[in-house]
Amino acid sequence: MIKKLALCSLLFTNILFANGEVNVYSQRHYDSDKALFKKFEETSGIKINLITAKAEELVSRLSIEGSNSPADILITADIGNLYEAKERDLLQGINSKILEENIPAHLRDEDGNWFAITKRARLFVYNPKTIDPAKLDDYFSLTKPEFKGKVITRTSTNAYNKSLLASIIAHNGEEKSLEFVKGLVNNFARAPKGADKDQIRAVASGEADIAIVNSYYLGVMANSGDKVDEAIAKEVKVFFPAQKTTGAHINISGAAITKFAPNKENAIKLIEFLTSEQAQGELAQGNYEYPVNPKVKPAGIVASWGEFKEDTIPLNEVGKYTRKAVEIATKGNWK
Amino acid sequence: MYLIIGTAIFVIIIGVITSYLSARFEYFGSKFFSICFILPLAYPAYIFGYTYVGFFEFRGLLSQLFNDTTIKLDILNMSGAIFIFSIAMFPYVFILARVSFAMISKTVVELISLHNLNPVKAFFIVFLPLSYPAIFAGTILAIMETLSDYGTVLYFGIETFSVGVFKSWFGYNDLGGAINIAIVLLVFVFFILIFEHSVRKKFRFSSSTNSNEKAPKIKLQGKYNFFAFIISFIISLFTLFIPTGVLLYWTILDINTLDFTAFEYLFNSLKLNIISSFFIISLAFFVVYFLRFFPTKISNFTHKLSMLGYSIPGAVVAVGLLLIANYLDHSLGFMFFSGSFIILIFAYTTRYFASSIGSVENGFSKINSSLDDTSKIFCKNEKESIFKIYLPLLKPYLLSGFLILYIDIAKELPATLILRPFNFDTLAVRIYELASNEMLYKTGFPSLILVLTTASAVLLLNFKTKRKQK
Repeated sequence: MIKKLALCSLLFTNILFANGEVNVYSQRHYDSDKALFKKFEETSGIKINLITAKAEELVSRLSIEGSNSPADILITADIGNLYEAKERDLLQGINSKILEENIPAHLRDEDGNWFAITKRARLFVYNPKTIDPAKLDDYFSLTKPEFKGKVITRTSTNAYNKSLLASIIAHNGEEKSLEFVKGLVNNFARAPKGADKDQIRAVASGEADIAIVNSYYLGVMANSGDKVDEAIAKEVKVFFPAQKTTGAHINISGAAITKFAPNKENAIKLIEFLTSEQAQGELAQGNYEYPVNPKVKPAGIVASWGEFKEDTIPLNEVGKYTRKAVEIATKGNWK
Repeated sequence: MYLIIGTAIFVIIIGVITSYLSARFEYFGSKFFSICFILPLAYPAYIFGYTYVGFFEFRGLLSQLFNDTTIKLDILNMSGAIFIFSIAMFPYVFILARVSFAMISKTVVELISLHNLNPVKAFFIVFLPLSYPAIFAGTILAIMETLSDYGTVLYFGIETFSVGVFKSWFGYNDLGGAINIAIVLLVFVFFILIFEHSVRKKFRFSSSTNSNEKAPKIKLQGKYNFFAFIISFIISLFTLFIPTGVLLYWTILDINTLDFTAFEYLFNSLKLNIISSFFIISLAFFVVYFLRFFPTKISNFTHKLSMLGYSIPGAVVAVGLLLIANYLDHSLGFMFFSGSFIILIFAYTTRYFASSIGSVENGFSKINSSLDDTSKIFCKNEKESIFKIYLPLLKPYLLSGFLILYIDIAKELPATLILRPFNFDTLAVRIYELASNEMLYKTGFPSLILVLTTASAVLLLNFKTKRKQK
């Protein structure tokens, strides 16, 4: 019965979307994405079929399904899982002039296996009443004795922290990175828990003074429609780390074509669309992320934090050390 | 481990107090509270987690109510998690123990007054031991649910077996390590079940004592009446009123941008839940039916084994089933199982078969075995005896099994997330999406709808069991 219904609905949608379809496995679950997908369907006539879940689970699903997989595109909110998928030979490289034009080289894979669609900076949010930003510098500055009992962030199992630590390993080697972890843990105001917004809230509440968070959460908070959240976002300040050295760590949301994509041409069209000026503008406005397309400006509040130097280390280098990062975080007792 | 022990202790305490009050006494609001005590079952633990964080956090609802920004309580820790799981799981003990307290016969109560025992002594010496198996069974259910939870413990930053499985699987890409942890978990659960079985054997009291007349409820007066009311009110305040209030507040906060696509998700949830619950309860019926007529030695063992499914984290079941589905599809040569509803329903069966088997077995145990022989004589074939005799007799038990499944499946998240077909989002999935985007207050409306639908199932279930008792 279900099967028949599914078949009927499939036939029906095929008439509506004469140009075929594209199947997307996505970790991103934002309403702004869904709105963009709808727009793509309307302009291209290609129907998007979507499943959202955690990135690790989607990569697992891809790997189990192998050549049977219906997926054409994998979208994750972090480089680590994209790299993992590439390593496990689940992706294929593509050539697209449009993508090369839309995305700077360090934000796409040199073999065309993945492409960034948005950027997030992993930065510091601090309480201006208690912290003098002149004392802050790169990520290592958080390990200074003067910040003891003042620093917070999420658990090390969180993908954003894993990638941050991986980038630190890529720049400084394992030994110094372990020192960093130990110093950071030593300065924690509390055991890691909660999500990024919880860290920002803790800084505003005085429970801690500096938090490592992703840039877009503060943007979302400042425009959330929840008066309390909006007030909290105004009480904290943003600091871009490592401006004199490597630049602030950048993570991406990225898209990749799967190895056995049955609708490869449509999949390429969708990724090209997502990096177009129009779509990038909407992603930037809708979710307060940094656009990857250099022609597009970030949203108002994000732009108000000012321009900054970003870490341009090839993200595959970061991906390479993700697993090492888990090991070092565990060794350094970063929960 | 702390989490399990702590939750077990609180679940027993709250569960026993509420069920004893509701089954033995009449006091101001007692009818109302016996419904309130059962309703937390409608809440997934993760929604309790979100609402309480929203309530207690810095400038959360509590500090807004008192207009004092210094009020905050950090619950993202072990004690907080124990609190959340206790209020989410205690109804399991409440439901089972209440029936057992209510079934205690008049003779027992007369014996108590003969021995001149005061109510407190009577409770510990007579009532508690008589209801021990029911309390224990409820606690086991609560523990298993807690063990299989993933979302809530992750948010609270607590390392459990489930988190361990995921960390080694996805963090280190170490499937072997993950399997090892999962095996330890299963062995642990298996021992709990064996222990439960032996305890139940030891405590197999029969409270019927030939007299079938149930003891009447005691009407509380004066300060006792007030005391019972206050206890009930405090418990309901934390387990029901506050979380519901937070959801309502969030919905009002979001009123201008309310997302009515939630009803679309509701429709999806209903469709999927009803079909799956119907399938699972039918399967349970046939399994128990055939075990009754063609019993084997291994049946008891397999029954215990099926209980294990209840404790396996949904995501582990899901990924395991992906492997199986893919293997089957490869042998078929085309995609049939992967990404279909069949595999999703199969996942629910693995997770929740145990609870449905329980209600069907319970029903069958009430049917006198002499009826089996009669049915063999008077019915032409199996089909006739099933449809003419057993199904009508078992109807109330099958219905309550169905409702329990419905509630469990509506709340299920990890397996649904991984296995659902394209473009098929349920209410639970929608809530997860909003929450993981840290738009907590936007989860108010869909959560409220989810809780309303499960709550109506819970109320229906409550109504059913009440009628059964009469």
